[in-house]
Amino acid sequence: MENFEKEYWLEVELQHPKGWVLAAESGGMLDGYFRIDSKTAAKLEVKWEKQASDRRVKAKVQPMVVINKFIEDYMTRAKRKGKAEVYERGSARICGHNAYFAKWRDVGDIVTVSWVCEDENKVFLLNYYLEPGEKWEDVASWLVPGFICHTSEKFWQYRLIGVEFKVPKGYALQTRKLLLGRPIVVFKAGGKTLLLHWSTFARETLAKYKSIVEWAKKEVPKEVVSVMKGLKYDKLKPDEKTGRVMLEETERTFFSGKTTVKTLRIWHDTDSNRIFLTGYSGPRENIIDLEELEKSIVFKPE
Amino acid sequence: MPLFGKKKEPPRISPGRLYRSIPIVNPKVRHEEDADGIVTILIPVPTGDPKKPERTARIKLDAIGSKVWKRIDGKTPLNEMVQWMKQEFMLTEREAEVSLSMFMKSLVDKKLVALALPPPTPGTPEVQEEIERIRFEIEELEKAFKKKKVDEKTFRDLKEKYEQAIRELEEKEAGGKS
Repeated sequence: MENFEKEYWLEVELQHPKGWVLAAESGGMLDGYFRIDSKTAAKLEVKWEKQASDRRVKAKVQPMVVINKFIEDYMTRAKRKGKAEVYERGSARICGHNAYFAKWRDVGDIVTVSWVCEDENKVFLLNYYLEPGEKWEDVASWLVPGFICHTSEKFWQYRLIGVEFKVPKGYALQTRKLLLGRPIVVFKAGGKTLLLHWSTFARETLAKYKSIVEWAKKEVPKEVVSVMKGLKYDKLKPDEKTGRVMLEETERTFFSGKTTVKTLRIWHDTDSNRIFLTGYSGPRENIIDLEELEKSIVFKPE
Repeated sequence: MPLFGKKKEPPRISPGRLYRSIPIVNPKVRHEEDADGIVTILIPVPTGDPKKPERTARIKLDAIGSKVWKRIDGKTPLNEMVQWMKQEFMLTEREAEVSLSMFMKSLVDKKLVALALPPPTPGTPEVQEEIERIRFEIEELEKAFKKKKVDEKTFRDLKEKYEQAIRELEEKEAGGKS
């Protein structure tokens, strides 16, 4: 398995050959989508959609119907005349669920797989784009056993441009800017917000700014300022205990008397040569979510 | 309808071959380095003034650009520079590739650096790509000759060289296939 690497994105874990990258993605709250490309072509797409949790309105989803509908829509979108040539159908087990697949032909051969994950109440659809000479049986031998759509853990793992981190379940990816070298991800759960941003070339950048406080005054991305509205950035101070630069403001709600907190923490991780910035806003008692996120951050370049 | 025809783009070079290319600093360009290792590139610019025919334009690089500039030795290909950048700046392969290619593009666009392409790998699409590239060079040469930017002897010599290179590539490919 040394030729494969793990991908963790939008509540899904899978493995793919080394060198393939997350090339497109969207959603995160009620649905999710991402595409992984090799160096030369789009290789696989994963889509999921949350099902209605109310049993009265919940219709039983048939994966094969989902597949047929997808192929039909694909042909319409691609303005192809006639029906797609579906030349094989079959079934498999993915992460403990019954999955169904169809092999069909467009410009190249495509395998579309669908299943329902009852544990997470999601309908999944996976497309794999076969290259000439590539056999689905070979692909399935590494793709299917490595695909995780639900876990018993209390968090979802994410991996983004070499950085892995864990987000407590219940939070969904709401905003992101996946800029190479300066990405930002924002997760929301009701009234709680978790934010993570990092910046590469930390050593070289800090040599110019001399301190994280000075860096923060100029380099905190506007997306962070927009999510953490109302924070006074000139009050950023180094915390001697943690060695981090911190900013925290609390507010007591008038009616419930509950304390809400808004905090920003910035530190230089010398091992990864990155400046990390985390943020949280929400009830004081849930600030542990931020601490869990911070503890989980690890740089794994390959 | 555009008033002027769009300039024909040179044929694309495959990323694999591009990453094996070697950056070479323009021999007219020099650089100086300060105590912190920050590089300033010195570029001679003709002034048109016979009294002082040349002035020096300066481009100061940042700390990262300076380190990368000093690695351009005319021997190290881009893929080796990517591996060095990964280690030096703690980057992923993709981060290093993108950072380096953006920096190199800006240097090539300013004609401070040229990329020496490696010979195409026999039996791969790189051979056809190279033939297309040489044909493009011939077209450009013919345009330059028509505009009298090159004399007839240079034009004929260069054209013959290019055509010879195409013949050799085609013969090698045909030999490899038979």
